Amino acid sequence: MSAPLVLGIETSCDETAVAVLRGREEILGHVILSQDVHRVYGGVVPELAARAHLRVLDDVVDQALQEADAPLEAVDLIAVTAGPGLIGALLVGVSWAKSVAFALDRPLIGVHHMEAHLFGPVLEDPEARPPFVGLLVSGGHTLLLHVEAWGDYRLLGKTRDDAAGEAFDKVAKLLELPYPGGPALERLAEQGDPARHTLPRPMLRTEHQPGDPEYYDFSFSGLKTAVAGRVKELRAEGTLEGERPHLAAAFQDAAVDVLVSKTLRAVDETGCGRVLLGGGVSANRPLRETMARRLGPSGNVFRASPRLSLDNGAMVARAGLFHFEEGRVSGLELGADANYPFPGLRASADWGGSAA
Amino acid sequence: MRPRPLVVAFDTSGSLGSVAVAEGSDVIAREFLTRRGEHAAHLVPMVRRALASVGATAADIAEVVVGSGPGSFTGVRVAAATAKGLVRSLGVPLWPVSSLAAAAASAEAHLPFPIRPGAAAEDGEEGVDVLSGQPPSRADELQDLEPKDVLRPRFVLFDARGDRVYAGCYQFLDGGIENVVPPRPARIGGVIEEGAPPGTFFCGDGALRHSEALMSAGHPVLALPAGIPTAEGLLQVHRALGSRPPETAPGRWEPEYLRAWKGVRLQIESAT
Repeated sequence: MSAPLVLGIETSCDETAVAVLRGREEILGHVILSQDVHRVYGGVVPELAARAHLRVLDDVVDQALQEADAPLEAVDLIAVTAGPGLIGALLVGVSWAKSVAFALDRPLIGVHHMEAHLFGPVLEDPEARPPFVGLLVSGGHTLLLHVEAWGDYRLLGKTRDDAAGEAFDKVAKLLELPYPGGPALERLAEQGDPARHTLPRPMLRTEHQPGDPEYYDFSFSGLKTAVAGRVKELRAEGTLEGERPHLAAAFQDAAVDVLVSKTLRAVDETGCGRVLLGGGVSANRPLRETMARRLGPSGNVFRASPRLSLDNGAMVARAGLFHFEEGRVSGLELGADANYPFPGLRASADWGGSAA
Repeated sequence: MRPRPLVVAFDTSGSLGSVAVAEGSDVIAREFLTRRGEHAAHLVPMVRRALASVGATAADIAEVVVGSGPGSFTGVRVAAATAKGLVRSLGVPLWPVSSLAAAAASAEAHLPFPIRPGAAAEDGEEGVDVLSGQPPSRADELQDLEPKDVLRPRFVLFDARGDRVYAGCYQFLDGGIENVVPPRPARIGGVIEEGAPPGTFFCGDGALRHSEALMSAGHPVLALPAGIPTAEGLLQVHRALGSRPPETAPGRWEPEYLRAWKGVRLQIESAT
């Protein structure tokens, strides 16, 4: 049998994304529809996201199949994001995928959205495979993992409050930047001097040791609050406008410092100098460059290009194929779950971490 | 073996989910989902089970009739997405039918389990509570539909929280159904103020929720299962009305949410 044709469907947030993957690496069709409706509201409106997914999913599927020059009947298996994410949005993709799997009698694989992000880089670079230290940073999640093999994920740290991408978006809003805020904040920060404002580096105290719960965990809400405080002061002084780039740069510098420092702690502990960045925030250039610089020439940083680091169907197809090859198939009882458990994730007893 | 031309219908807009399979004018299989939280996970398995119970598979589906809402936004979308996947895969027509119209047809329905207004089922007991634990007031004044009354108009009200309802009025005629008041969102005060044709019965979980106000205004309210959308009701309305196909391609069809969100603009871009 030739390599299977996998349909990957992603509707967990505000991207309706579908890809057609031949085997493990050949992306034949790849379509991402970003719902720009949320721009008007300054954030994702769950009901709007779900309605938009339902309205466009068939068209997005059609375009991906057209690019792949394959009819739907040629698809051998169907992978769909089953969580975590917005429940109403997830249910559109899951319900559609289930009925197609039933109608065409094909295997169905429910995929964890963040596990799928681990599979983004390997679609472009065959070297981006385990073992690695994985830093998954998105609008909903911040996870630090030690991955010795696909499907075997040791959780080192996670955020205790806001996700990294959430902090970027919230700070962007404080600085009156348009949604989505992360990329806008990065652009504004390019014109700023990060040293003009001193902001805290949460949970980065040097006295923390491996075994302390704080050693690998993240916290971003305090940093966001510190920015909010500075914004208030500067507005009262009437100097906010001129300081916005500097404040953006200072925030980004602090967030990147925390993310990179914690990842390097994991590199030291595990002895694994291969770092994989996944999730939407991995598109942030200072994060990538700082990571590579501080990791040094002996290390490797793997990350996907934007089309595979933003939410997309190809990573879902690739993760689904992995589980299919391992003999794990979901039944038609598959449900969507806003808190879908990360398969293969285990707490790190040595480090006192707890499962996400 | 040649596929059998079966019609599959389903509705998950409210607390009772249901699937029916028809061959010609006969309903040959019925399945029900009595727990609201389970509609999404169990709708497709229930369709499979209904078909299997008559020795059929997905390949035997010739038409799909879907309850198009209004109702729970999520429930309506689960049915819609499931229907779209089926018709996309099988290349068969999609017939959306208003869940309000289907509910108007259920006064005569026989359900294989108790249906309780406002009382949760005991452990291990089957049944469905359509009012989330709040029994209707004046429950003993609810009426059953007598055979002599079948041609009187039925005003269906779905509960949409607070004083909001989704409303639609239907009259069954010989071999047909007339939609007297088209589906719309409303407030119970407005419905009562506007009134209804003489002899109209009110029904549905919204009518039970507001039974005190309706009865005080002189409107009779029907007891359950009248006013509960069912897949069998969808089939009955579909046959009587000869449902219109969606005005867009089935893939772009949107259900009747009856509550708008404005300003949606979408553009598809390839990322290849």
